[in-house]
Amino acid sequence: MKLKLRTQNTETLKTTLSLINPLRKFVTLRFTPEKLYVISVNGQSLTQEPQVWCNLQISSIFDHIEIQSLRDNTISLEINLELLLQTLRNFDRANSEGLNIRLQRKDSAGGQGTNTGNGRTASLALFYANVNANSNTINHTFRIPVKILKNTHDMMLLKEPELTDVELIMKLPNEFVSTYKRLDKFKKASNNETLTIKASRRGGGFLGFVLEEEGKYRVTISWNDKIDVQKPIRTNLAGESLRVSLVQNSVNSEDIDEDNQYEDKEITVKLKDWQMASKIVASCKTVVFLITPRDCVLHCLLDDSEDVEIIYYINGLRVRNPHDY
Amino acid sequence: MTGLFLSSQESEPSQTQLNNGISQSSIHQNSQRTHSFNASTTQIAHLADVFSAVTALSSQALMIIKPTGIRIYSEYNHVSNVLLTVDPSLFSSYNFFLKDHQTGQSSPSISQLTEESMGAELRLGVDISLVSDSFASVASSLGISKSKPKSGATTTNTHTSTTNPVSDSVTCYITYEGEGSPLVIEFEDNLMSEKIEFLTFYTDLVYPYDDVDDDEEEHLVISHNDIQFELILRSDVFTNLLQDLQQISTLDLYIYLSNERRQLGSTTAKRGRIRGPSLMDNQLNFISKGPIGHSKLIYPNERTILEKLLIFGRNDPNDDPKPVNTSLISCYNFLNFIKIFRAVKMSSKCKILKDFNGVLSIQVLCKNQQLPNYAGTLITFNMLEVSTVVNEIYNDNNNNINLNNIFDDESYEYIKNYNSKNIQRDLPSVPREARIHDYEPLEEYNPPVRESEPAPIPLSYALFRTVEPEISTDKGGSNVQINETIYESNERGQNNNDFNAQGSKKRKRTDNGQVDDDGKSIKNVGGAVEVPLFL
Repeated sequence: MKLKLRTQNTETLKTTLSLINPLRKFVTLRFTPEKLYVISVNGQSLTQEPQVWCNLQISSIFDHIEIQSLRDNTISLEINLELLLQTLRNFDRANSEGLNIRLQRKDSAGGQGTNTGNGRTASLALFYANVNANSNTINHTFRIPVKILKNTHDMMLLKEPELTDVELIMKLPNEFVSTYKRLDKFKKASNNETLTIKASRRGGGFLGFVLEEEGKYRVTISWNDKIDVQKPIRTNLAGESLRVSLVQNSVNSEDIDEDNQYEDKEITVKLKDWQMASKIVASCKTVVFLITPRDCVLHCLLDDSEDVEIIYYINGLRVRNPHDY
Repeated sequence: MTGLFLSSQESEPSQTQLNNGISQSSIHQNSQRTHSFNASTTQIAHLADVFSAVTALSSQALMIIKPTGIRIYSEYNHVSNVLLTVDPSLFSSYNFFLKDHQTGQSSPSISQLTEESMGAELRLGVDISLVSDSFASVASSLGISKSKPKSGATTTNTHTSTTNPVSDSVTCYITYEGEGSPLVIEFEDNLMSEKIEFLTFYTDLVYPYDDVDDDEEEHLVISHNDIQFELILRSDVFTNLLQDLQQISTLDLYIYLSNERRQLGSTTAKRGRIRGPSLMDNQLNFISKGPIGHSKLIYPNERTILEKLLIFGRNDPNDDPKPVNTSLISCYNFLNFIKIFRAVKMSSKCKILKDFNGVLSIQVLCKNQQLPNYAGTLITFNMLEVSTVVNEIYNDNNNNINLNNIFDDESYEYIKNYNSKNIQRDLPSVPREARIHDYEPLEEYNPPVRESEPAPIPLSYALFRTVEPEISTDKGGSNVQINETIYESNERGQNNNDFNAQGSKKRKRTDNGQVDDDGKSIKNVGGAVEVPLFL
């Protein structure tokens, strides 16, 4: 197993990591020769809480890449996100030439097996050189303990959710982030709030939120601006480029049955889960919202390129179609 | 179901609907109508501000909608209350409807209608903190959309940035259809609409501004016939002062005010000096008592900052109060008092009234910069002063304590003389300059020596520093327990009791002596200055 990376600019990586930083303490980094996946999931209850998958084009971040492993040259490790971010920030401030990242076995005097208590048997070393005002070179080395995910069980858990049966797909405008601000005040008003998201192709596209607290208030927020709600031709979007699917789908936007109530879709999620995505939605250039019968997904592109994809999966609380009963 | 109804008057229409066929007696003439209300405005930031001022007291409030405006009333623990009045001119449309349920009846003439509709009102209980949050969140997103196009231009204060077209683009609609229906507030702009239905409920808040002849219950409102003092302050200075008071973690707040005449210059004829002109000197001091001791904050007495200071007095409770020149002090719980802070901060002027019943009323007028023609939103706070022990100690024997000597810098000289013989050697802790200040021994004045009763000790700075055998620890030490407004009589001479005779003598001395030196040095300070007294 070997991991050697070198980069001069960590800006993209830093931005991506800081967007998902508030979600959880630990993330999984999966290095493959093509991509770097940053995965934030709840290890215990995978289906209960939102998952975030960041897919970064590894060649766009690092200029020198060496990844070797027995498992298809894939290395997965669990790391404390805050420590990693802090190190990246230190590197930024140092104004150094380049940052080297290497996976190292932890040197423990007691030999192997002593440190298996928390499973952090290796460390990710980040080092860079910094020339200060007196033209002395200072070498900085940071070692962040990591847990290498080897066994197949761990790997099985970390499987990117497949988007089957996508019902509606829509691109959210940049101003959409203000709905998060409006919803935010209800987060503190109660603890276990649910949010119902309604979307429809009818009437030129509709997206709205319904929030209700028994005995207190009922809120309806609906998007007034034009929103292009589409229905994908092929319902399985797995492995397909986001842009391609959007372009292809714009073909069939004419056959909308205005009288068909089945066009209306809704899904109920936890308000907290929905609101956690506000920072991601606010920072990403392109945000596409997908509704499936069970989940809803925010598929975001950080900038104009497709180098960084951030995919935020939210599990629906109850699967319900108002016309089914 | 009927429990939800606020009053019998309002519940009538449902009855009417049930007995629609039967002709109603004329008694029910008024009650066969229900009211409904709708309004729209773009002044969301202003409403967010004024609503937040009310939430400091309680999250629940009584909302009263009338053709003449919207009032929101809330109270805290029966010791303070707040009333917010929003004028209809803030709204671009403001409609108050009367629905007549009895179709058979001839519609009232126009004059009748206006008369009736003026008295008509809708009352509802509502969670004002939620309403305030809604307005605040919309107002804050206004700020965002405002700053985005500028992107790094001068960071203007969100409160004062006025002429931005974006801020006017969100329209707010308020609708209430009468009892049983929710209060609906809608925010709408080009991008989205947010419709919030606030459930309304019955509230048992007693609205003290009702004209109810209920003498048994004392309402916490100012009695305009019994005004004890009236102040008008400029709010920005007052805001700073409140902030300072909060920073030194004030627990009790004493408000001392005085408009007594003072003599300028030295007045002792003996030394051949000339009497100076008498000067009306308005003083307003905020004295803080907290963990660090006492601090005095002097409110500047320039006309533009302290616009008005009037003190009223009366001899008999039945008399009308007349303006007098005197001093008085009153005490308030600061935790309650500071709840006015947000309202004061957003206002330009602040009026403070207190009546003889111990009710302090603070009225602030919040202007809206976006609507220069708008008269302003009026917020009135009422609170009770803290009452206490001092009454029992002092008021029994002598009503007329020489109040001026409390916290009054001018009385230094006299106190030193008076106490010199007894205290001087017992005073190791007193700063030297305060104790021995080159005072001359006084020939013309001798402390009265009485065997029968101990001479009353005037309250003064010196007192707080000293422990005299007579006052011992219960009233001496560092605690001044003057908690209820104590009045100093104006007619000292008329009173024949010993204390007052002595008091007037003292006063004479105070007026004669080296009075002004100390007083002046502090008086000239421009801003609200903190003078720690007993550290």
